[in-house]
Amino acid sequence: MEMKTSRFGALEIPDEHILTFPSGLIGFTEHTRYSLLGDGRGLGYQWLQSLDDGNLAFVVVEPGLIKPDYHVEIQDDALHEIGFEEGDDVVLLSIVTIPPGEPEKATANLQGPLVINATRNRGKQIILNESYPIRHALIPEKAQMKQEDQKAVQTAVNT
Amino acid sequence: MLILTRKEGEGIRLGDNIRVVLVQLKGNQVRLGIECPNSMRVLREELYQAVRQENLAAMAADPANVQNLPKQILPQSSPDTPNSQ
Repeated sequence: MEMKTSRFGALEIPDEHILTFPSGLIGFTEHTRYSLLGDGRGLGYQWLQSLDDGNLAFVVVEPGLIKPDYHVEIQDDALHEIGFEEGDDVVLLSIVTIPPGEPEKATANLQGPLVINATRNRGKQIILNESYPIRHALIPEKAQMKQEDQKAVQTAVNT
Repeated sequence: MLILTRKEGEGIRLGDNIRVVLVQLKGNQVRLGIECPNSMRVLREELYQAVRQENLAAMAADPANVQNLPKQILPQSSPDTPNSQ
């Protein structure tokens, strides 16, 4: 299908790249079709672009990359909704929130991950019973400070 | 919204297999007991709303900002899906 998007212009999405979220995302129940777009840099970030609204897209990242011991228990209703059958390939994604102008303070939502059945192209956003942060910093605060120090040093060197 | 008055120890049933019991009244808090099938999600309302709010905050992402997302936390070799652009 062809899709006009506000961020990426017109895209041709092959049928096998269309993901269906039967219940939509939480707060976006009317948008049920998405596609994952790589950001082309190999850093692990992807875009989850709505195919129902060209303006709607989320940045997503695999939570295992930022929290290696992350594990979730997926309940039966969710497994049913993504059409899970033994042997299917299931992928977890976390939605990234980027505060305007402060990408270094970006966070990933570990409490409400997306569960995607890659075999059947169906997904669902679940909310975990285990307590995980809704805003897990992509860079720990200490490292953020280091970065700012480096910036300050660079600025000092440049001036 | 249906509003019912219940005393401690009393309950209500939703359909055939959901039971909610008012276990205890204490000051301005009530303790609820919920019996329902394992397959059914039970969530505190504020948690649901928090995830909803976070989705709303995340949708505004600007590609220019994404270019500046941290690089060092992610392994360079992480797989990317084929770029559909």
